[in-house]
Formats: sequence, structure tokens, C-alpha cells
Amino acid sequence: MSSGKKTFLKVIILGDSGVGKTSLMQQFVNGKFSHQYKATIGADFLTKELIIDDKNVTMQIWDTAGQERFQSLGVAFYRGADCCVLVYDVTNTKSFESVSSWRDEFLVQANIKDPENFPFVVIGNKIDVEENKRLISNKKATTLCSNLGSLPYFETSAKEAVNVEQAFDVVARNALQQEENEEYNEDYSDAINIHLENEPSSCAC
Amino acid sequence: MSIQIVAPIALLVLNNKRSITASAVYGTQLFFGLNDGSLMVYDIKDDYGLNQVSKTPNDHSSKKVDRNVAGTDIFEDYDFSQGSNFYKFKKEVNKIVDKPIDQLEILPDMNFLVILSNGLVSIFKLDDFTLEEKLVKFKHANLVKSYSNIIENGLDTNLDESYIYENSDEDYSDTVSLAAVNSEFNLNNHTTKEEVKINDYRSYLCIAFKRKLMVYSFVKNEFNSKIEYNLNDKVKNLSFLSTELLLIVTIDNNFYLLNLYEEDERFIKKLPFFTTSVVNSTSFSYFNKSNSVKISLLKTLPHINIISKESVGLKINDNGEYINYNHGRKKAISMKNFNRKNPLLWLKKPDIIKYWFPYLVLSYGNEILEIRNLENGNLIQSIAIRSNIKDFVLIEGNYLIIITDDGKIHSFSQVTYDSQLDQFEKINKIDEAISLVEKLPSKLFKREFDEDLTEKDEKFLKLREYQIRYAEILFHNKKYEQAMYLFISFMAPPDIVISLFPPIVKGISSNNDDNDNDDSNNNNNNDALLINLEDINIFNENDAFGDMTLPSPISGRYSPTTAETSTVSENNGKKIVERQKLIESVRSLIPYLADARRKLSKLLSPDSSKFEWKGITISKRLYIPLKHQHEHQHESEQDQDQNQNIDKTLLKLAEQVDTVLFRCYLISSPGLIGPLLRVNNYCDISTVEKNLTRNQMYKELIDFYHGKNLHEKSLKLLKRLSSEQNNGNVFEGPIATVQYLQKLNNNDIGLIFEYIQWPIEVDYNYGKEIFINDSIESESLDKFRVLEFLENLKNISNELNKLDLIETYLEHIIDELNDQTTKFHTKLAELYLKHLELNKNDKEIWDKLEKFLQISNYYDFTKILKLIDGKQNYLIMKTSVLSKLSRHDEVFNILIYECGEYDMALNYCLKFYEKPEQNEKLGNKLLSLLLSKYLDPLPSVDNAKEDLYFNKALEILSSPSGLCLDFLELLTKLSNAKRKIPISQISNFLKLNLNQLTKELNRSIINGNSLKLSNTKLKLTRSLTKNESIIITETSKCSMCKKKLGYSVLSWFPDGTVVHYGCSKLYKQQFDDKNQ
Ligand SMILES: Nc1nc2c(ncn2[C@@H]2O[C@H](COP(=O)(O)OP(=O)(O)OP(=O)(O)O)[C@@H](O)[C@H]2O)c(=O)[nH]1
Ligand SMILES: [Mg+2]
Repeated sequence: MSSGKKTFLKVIILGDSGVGKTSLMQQFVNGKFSHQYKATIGADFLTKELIIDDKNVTMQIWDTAGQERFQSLGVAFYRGADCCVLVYDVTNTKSFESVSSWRDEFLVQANIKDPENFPFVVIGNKIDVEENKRLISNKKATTLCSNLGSLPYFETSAKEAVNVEQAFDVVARNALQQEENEEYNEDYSDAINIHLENEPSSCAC
Repeated sequence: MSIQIVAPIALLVLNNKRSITASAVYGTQLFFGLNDGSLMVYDIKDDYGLNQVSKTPNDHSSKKVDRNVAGTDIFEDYDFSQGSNFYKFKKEVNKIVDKPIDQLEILPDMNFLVILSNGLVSIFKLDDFTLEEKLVKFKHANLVKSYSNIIENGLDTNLDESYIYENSDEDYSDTVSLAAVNSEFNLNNHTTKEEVKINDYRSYLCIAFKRKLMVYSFVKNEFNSKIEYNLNDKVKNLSFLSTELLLIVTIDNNFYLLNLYEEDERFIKKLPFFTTSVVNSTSFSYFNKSNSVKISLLKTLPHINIISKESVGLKINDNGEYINYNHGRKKAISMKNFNRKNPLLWLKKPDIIKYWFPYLVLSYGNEILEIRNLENGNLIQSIAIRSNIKDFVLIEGNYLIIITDDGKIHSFSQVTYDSQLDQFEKINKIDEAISLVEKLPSKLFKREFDEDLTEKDEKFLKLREYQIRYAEILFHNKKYEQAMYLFISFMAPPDIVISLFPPIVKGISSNNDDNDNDDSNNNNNNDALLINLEDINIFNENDAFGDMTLPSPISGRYSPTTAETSTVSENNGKKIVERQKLIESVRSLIPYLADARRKLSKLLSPDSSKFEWKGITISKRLYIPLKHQHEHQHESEQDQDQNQNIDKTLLKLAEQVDTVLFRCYLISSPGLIGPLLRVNNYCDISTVEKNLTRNQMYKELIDFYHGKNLHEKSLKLLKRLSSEQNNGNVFEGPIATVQYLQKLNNNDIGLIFEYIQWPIEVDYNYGKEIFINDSIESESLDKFRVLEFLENLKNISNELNKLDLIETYLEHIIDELNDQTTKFHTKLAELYLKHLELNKNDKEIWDKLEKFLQISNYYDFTKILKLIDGKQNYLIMKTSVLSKLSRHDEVFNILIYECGEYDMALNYCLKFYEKPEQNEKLGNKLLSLLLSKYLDPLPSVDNAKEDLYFNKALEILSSPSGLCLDFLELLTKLSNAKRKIPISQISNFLKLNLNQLTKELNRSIINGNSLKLSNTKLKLTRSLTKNESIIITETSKCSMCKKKLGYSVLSWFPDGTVVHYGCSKLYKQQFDDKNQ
């Protein structure tokens, strides 16, 4: 390990149920994919160690439930987030339409002080499907992302590991940037980060 | 006001000169050891009421001397008259031992009474006090201690499971894992109960002597083992942390942990940290080495043990580790343990300290007894006894028996928990009430009349009520963070929390109490609120939040301590501080509101009106503020009404939460207004409208209107804004309106038509952005109505523009959306024609029309045909239409005779071959028709043309396409043709055809032969199969058993033998042998 203090990044993944949030996280952290769908209940996180420009970074990725009835009531884990990933499924129009609501909901619940500049990354997942099943075109998605404030956009397949690394690389970089900005932000008082000292839970699957 | 946890019951005076030197209790039996070696046994009358005194004795009965210790009174004289028959003398065993009794211990499961006297240990039977054994081995025993986990078990039942005392990340699980359903990962698994089960019925007797410790262990009422441990010094005191671990303190003040399940001395672990300064400086002296210092060790609640020495009590867990309530970064844990302290500090060094559920009892030599809170050591009640306290014993958690030097035995009882709670409430010691409720078992909270709620629910409600009250107190004492933490943790009803804030935040001017009635009141509120906003000029002209000013002083009760020293002019500085305070107060409120809105929306959501919180299922009923609940209890007959009322209340609360959240954002983080107003929210419309308008936050206002489906309002506003002339007006021009309309779907088609009109008048292309947009909304629009609307558009500067708009629309729905409606297709063709009438040279439209007539199958052919009939320049297009009508003859007439487009004519035929859905026949037919047109032209045709046509016919015949024609039919056609055809010119055609025919003939012959062959084969097989039969008659016999075959099941072997199925096994053997 290189010297210098370790940077801790917190990333939240949001999106409708079944869009592949858990799958993306599993693919990124463990390089695994499962066809089986098991709804996420509450929220859970995995961590991954990364090196970004010679910097040692621990990324804690919070996977949340998309299904309303499984959504956690507490949102303490939203707080102190450095980046938020908004996922939709390119074969599911509704999931695409929900993207901006997820963003708004996150801003309110996480009580983000500077919403305009908070880093989001949008991911259109499941691009491995046949072309005729795809309902959201690249153009539609990029239009939305630019309307939401030039959010970075990636099209991925958690199944075939397409673009997943690349997307999370940008997530990590943006989170790092945000983290550094936060350090100068004096008003950080109510960011209760209760997990700093926790050992990362081992993979729960 | 003073608190009375204990009340006097009875006094017993021993009328002899002897003094009590040791005491013990078992069940309701009291044992006193005397200085002459005698043992006295008393029984406490068990019919003495319930275990607790039901009401607080009235104040007249006691004379009070107010020594003002932590707000409690001290009683000097007591009225013990109530319990005259309390003690019942049972037995005295005179001189059970020779010397004064130093210590009494009881081992109930072994029926042992253990007496330590003059360094000797004797064991007597507990029931008849006969001597069991004298342990002469120990000449210098200085301490005996018994332990039984049955007693522990009993103590455990006092404690409710919901009282989780450990330093666990409880909040982590609440917020994350305890989602709306039972989560998979439950983090709090308290195993106390199981542990007890595993080590059932285990007891110990420890005897300390010299530098040794002897431990006898008994399992299930049987002697199990005895182990002797060697220590570095004499034992001063010892205590069981669990069935497994024994904590020992030696004379030299070292602490050791002994694992009793391991027989080896190596398992004696010295606890190092107690000799260093774990504790802060005040208690440092606590650990100086002195063998005269008394150290008490006590077990309290599960997992909490106290080491008391001098004036300090140190809490350790069952592993002998210091309990740390203050987890630096783990803020949530520190928050939760806000009221817990470690170490605990006493006024001075106590002589005796014991745990009496749920309090600590301490006695000081100077006749004072104290009841203290276990959590933080706070003094709750202090009692003065007239003579020196020798000892006290505690019975089953209810009676407190105090033994004094002068042979008096005072007994007190805990007053009922209800009474304790009442008292705490009266003097606003809510933290004490919480401390008590937390520990009490749920069953005490069950109210008879409410069947819907479980005892756990009831306890939670009680706890919640107190926690909220406590949080309010904390809030008023400026402990905002802690207060807000509790408000969130215990789901304080929003109205309570919001009412703590100044009007500017609440949005309700002060003294407006009755705000939860009917609608007329609502209006009043809004007016009051508006006035309020005008009074308080939050935002100045520049619309910059940094310049926000406030009148001073603000009337709110909130005033955080953050001192921002004002260096500018007094007044200005004051304003800045006030503003800063306001912003901070608002920021502390925001997390609460965000949390509350999430919970409310869960309750209001139709498919999940419940959620889990701290292990309790929170329903609408449980959530609703307590004051509302009482109202509902009276109307329990009308369930329907009740539910409606609850929903109404919830909606009102949701509105309050969202509206206040909106105001908070307005004050402290305007960037979040947009997100809040865009998500599903219950914000009060007029509050939002007025405030945003005032601050010219139109973007947010429009988003809000959109979310609330108030589209007309939005569109009106946008129209107004579009013409406002000021710098940086982002709403200038029609774009904003158009963008807004793009988000509307067919439900608002009327509005779309109404409000797209003016942008279209500015530039007709805006119409395209609405109707021709690759979006779900656009696609949802009723096409007939859109077409109608577009056609009726007036005020479009140029007719061609209008045509362009409609054409583009129709092209869009036809090409992109694959609409097959005849009306649209026909309309498009008509429009193209109209367009070309207006502008003959529009090549683009011409091409489009041409292509369209060819490709589309859905326009009204006859109608279009009529439109273009007789127009010379549309001749070719006419063929497309005719073709659709299958009027091929006319097509050829036009192509050949009128236009001379011979290639086109041929291609026209060939085209039909390409289309899979058309059969080849049609192609052939057309080709043949074409040929006829060439070979037999109209009589009017001149000679030159005739030649030309004839050549065209020959061209066709000599091209590969000629092959497609029916040969025979052609030959007839050719022989009937006007002109004779030289064979040479069509030799190629004939050759090809002959070849083809020969090929086909050969193929047929081969086919025929092979069919014949297979026929013969089949015949052969048939006759072979026929031969394989065997005829069985009525008289046929089985070749094995020689009986008739009859109608039994038979087996037929390859050699032709038929036997009964039953005999087949045998025959098979024979058959196989034979074959071998
Ligand atoms: N074809 C394809 N399927 C995918 C992809 N990613 C996920 N899936 C499948 O989609 C389903 C849902 O995936 P999850 O990752 O569980 O979805 P989620 O967003 O975590 O859903 P919730 O936990 O309910 O919010 C699973 O059956 C996955 O196998 C992908 O890239 N391609
Ligand atoms: Mg999931």
C-alpha cells in the first residue's frame, strides 16, 4: 500500500426494481452475474479497493431496493454520499422515466447542500438484449442526461460485463472530486456516517 | 417536589442486646446472623398486598428535611404503621456456630446455607438448619460466595427483550435493514436467553482463603467438581459476570478474570486496564494501591457489571471490558447513549452498593441510603435512617430491608411503577421515566380496552411519548442535535416538532391554535402566513439569499448558541447573527422533515400502509399523534369513520411536513426546492405559489404546477413570462411553453391545442416539436384530433407553411408510427397535390408524392385517381394508383401507348415476381399481357410504332424473363400475331425453352422409375410379413405345459413357438440354451 491517507468514497445506486442495480454492483465488485432475480431488501453495501491516479481509494457501494415495499425507511446511509448512480433498463420505458425522480428523491433525502453540482452518473443497463427489445435509444437517454445537467451517461451490460468498469471508473473519479470538495465545505455537521469503522460485510450472496 | 421510589412499610426492633453481623435472603425468608453465633429466621408475610405499594404515602406521614440533594427530599421519620404484621418470626437457632457469624450465603438448589464464622466455613441444610458439613480444611477463609444461574434466569425475566443495552449498531439496523418487511440480515441477535438454557442449573460455591480460591461447582443439583486456584494475593472480593466468568479483585487491588469452564490456572487473566487511567482524572485516585479500600462488585442488567470503589462506579461488560458509550465517530451510538455515563460518580465513598432492579441502592455510613439511576448515577431518592446502616437486603426486586446498628430492621417497598412514572412526569424528569420504561417488561403496559395493540406496541407508545417529551425539553435547553435525533428515532408527530420553530418556519403566525378544523380555517391560515411573509422581508430585491434580512428579534423560541461575533455595526451584526441562527435552526429541522415525509408517504401509500420500526409494526393508528388517538378511541363503533379520520389526519400532517420543508429549503437551501416540488409531494399549493412568485422562482413553480397537474396555471404563467422584458429572462419567447407542452399527453390535449397556438403563430415549426416528437407523450395524442386541429389552424402566415406542418405530421405518423388509417394516407396525398398546385416546381414534394402513391397501400385509390385523372403531368403517377386497383391493362396502355416508357412497362411486370405475396401467375399474366400489347397494338398505331413494339416483344422473348412465360400459350400467341416472326430471331428463346422442357422430361422419367422401384420393395416386405403369422385355434396347445392356449396372454418366440405367458420364462431358457 502506498503512503498517504486512505480515501473513503460512498456511492449510492438507485433505480427502479429489476433494472440491474445489484447485478451491476456484483459485476463490478465480484465479476459475477446471475440470471436469477432476487429483489434487494432494504439496502446493502459492498466495498472495493481502487487505485485512482496513484491514490488508494476505498469505494463503498450501496445497493438499494427498487421495489417500493422493500425500500428502507431510514435514509441515514444516503448521507455523506459522494456520488449517486441512477440506473435504468434500456428495455423498460418506465424505468427510464423514473430516472429524474430518483435523482430528485435522492437530493431531498440526502439533504444535499449543493444539488446543482452533486455528481450523478446515469447508466442504461442490459444493452446485451436484442435490438428490437430495446426501447430507449441512445439519443433519448443522452437528451435526458443533458437536460438533467450534463450528467455522464453509460450504456452497460452487467450480464456481459460491457462498460461496467468504465462507468464505475467515472463514478469513482466524480466521487473523489466531490469528496475533495466536501472537505472544504465546513457545513458537514449532520452527515452521520455510522459505517466508517465497520468492516465491509462480506459478499452476501 | 420530591421523588419517592421507596415507601416505608414496617419496622422491627430486635429486643435483645445482640447485634446482627450478617444477613441473607431467600425467597421471602430473611436470615440474620448474630454476633453470638446465632441464626434468626423471619418470614415476610406474603399476603402483604401486592409486591409494590400501590400508592405513594401522603406527605403528612413524614416530616421532611430538605437537604436539597439533586432535587430530592430526605425523610427522617417514617410511618411504619401500615405493616404491623409484616415480619413473622420463624425460628432462632441458638449458637449455630461458636463465634460471630461473618457471612451468610445460600445455595437454594443444593439446599445449603453457608456460614462463614471465624475463618471457618460450615454448611447447613437450608430447610432444617442441621449441619451438613464442616469444611475444616479452610482455616483462614475470608470470603464465601455462592452463585446460581437459576437466580440469574429469574432476574432476566424482569428485563424486556426490547431493552437493548449493548453498544450494538442498533441504529444501523433500524435505518437500513429493518425495511418494510422482515429483513434477511438481522443484526441484533441477543443470545442471553439461550445461554442460560445451555448451562442450565449450574451453581457454585467459592471460598477464598489465604492466596487461594476454592470453587465447588454443582450441576443439576449434584456436586460436580472442586477446583483450587492459586492467586498472587488474598481475595478481597469477587463477582460472577456470567456462569462462565468470575471477576476477582485481590487485596493488592488487582483484577482477575477467571474462566470457570477451564480447570487450569492459566485461564486466570489479569485485567490490565484497571490499573491505568481508563477513567478520567477525577477517578484516577480510585485505583491507588491500598488494601484498606473497599471494592464492591455487582452484577446489574445483563451485560452490565459495576466495580465500585471510593466514589466511582465503573461499568464493565461480561467480558470484563470497559463499556464505552462515547464512540467518537460513531455518532449514532453516542447519540443513543446520550444519557448514559461511565464511570458513575457518587457523592462520596459508599459503604454498600447493590443493584435493585432497576436502580442502584447505596448506603453511606452516616445513616443515608440513596436510590440512583443505573444509567448515569443520578440521585433519585435519598433516605435518612436514624442509626448507622449495617447492611441492607433486597427481596425479589420489591422490598428493601435495612438493618441498622441498633437492631432495628426497616423495611421499604418500591412504589408502583405507575406511581414512579407519575412522579417523574410531575417534576419533568422525563429522562428518568424513559430510563424506567425502557427496562420494564412489556406486559406491564397492556391496556385492557385496546385489542388492536400488542403489549409491545403499548410499551413502544409509552416510550415514544416520553422520548418525544424529553426531546422537547432538550430542545428548549438548546440541545438541538440530540433533540432532533430523538424526534427522528421515535417518529415524533410532525405537528409537535414543527410547533417548536418560529412562525417564519412554521408558516403560521403565532397564537393560531385551532388550525386543524375545516377548510374555512385553512384560508385564514394562509392569509396569516402571507402577512407573515410580508412582515418578514426575507429576501431583498436582489433575490440573493446572502442578503436576507430579518426583523429582530425573531419571535421564535429557537436560538442556537453559535456565537458569531458581530464586528460591524450593532444592528447589522445582530441581524447577521439572527439570520445565521435561523438558518441553523432550519438545517436541524430538515433531516427530521425528510424522514417524516418518507414515513408518512409509506403510511399513505395504498399498497403498504405499514412499516417496521425498531422492531414494531407501525400502522397508521400507531403513528398518529397521541392527542388525535384519544379522540378516535371514543368513536370506536364507527370503524369506517375512524379510518377516514386517520387518513385525513395523516394527509394533513403530510401537507404540514412538506410545506414546512419547502419553507426550510426556501430559507436555507433553495437548490432543493426544485427536487422537492418535482417528486410526489403534499405541499400546500397557495404557500408554494405565493412564496415562489414573490421570489421569482418560476422554474420551480412551473415544476410544482406540473407535478400537481395544474397545467393551465403553468401555461398561463409561461405565456405571461414569455413577453416580459428583462435581462436574463429564461422564459422569453415560446420555447418554455413548447417544452412544457411536450410533457403533456393526450389527457391534456385540449390544453395543448389552446397553448400551442401562440407559439405556432410565432413560428409554425413549434407545432412540429409538439406533434412530431419522438416521445411517449407526443405519440399518445389522438391523431384525428391533432389533424383536425392542424387543419383548422388560423393565423398562420403562409398557407404553404401550414401545409408543410400538416404534411410533416402525417408523414411522421405514417412513416415513423406506421399508421395505416386511410384517412391519413388519403389526406397526405391530397395535401401533396394541393401543395403542387400552389407550387408546381416543388421537386421535393413531387418526388414524395410519386413515391407515396407507389408505396402506400392505404390511401383511397379511387378518390386520388379522380383527383389526378385527366391531368397529363400525373400520368405516370396515375399508373401507380391504377396498379393498386389492379387495372393493369390501363397501366400498360399509359406506359406503352401514351408515354412510351417500355422499360417501365417491363419492370412493372417483373416487380410482381419479386413480391413474395404475389403469385408467379400474376407476373406471368402481366408479362403475357405486355407481350400482347406489343404484338397486337391498337389498330390506330402507325407502322413505325408497330415495328418498335414488335422489336420490344422480341426483346422480351430473348431475355431471361421470357422463360417465365407459358410456352404453349406463347406459341399460340405468336402464331396468331399479326406479323410472322422469323424463327432465327427467337431461336434463342425457343432453344432455351426446349432445353428447359427436355430437362423437365428427363427428371420426370427418373422420378417415375424410382417410384416403381420402391413400390416393388414395399410389396416384398408385405408378403414377408404375411408369412410370419401363426394360426391359433381353439385346440392349439402350449408347447410347455401342453394345455390349451385358450384366451390367456401368450408369448410368441422367433422360432414360431407359442406358449402361455406364464410358461414363457421356462421356454425362454430352453430357447436360449438351444441357440447356444
Ligand atoms: N440481459 C440482461 N439481464 C440483466 C442485466 N443486468 C441484470 N439483469 C437481470 O435483471 C434482473 C434484475 O436484476 P437485479 O440486479 O436483481 O435488479 P435490481 O435493480 O437490483 O432490482 P431490485 O433489487 O428489485 O431493485 C435479474 O434477473 C438479472 O439477471 C443485463 O445487463 N442484461
Ligand atoms: Mg437489487
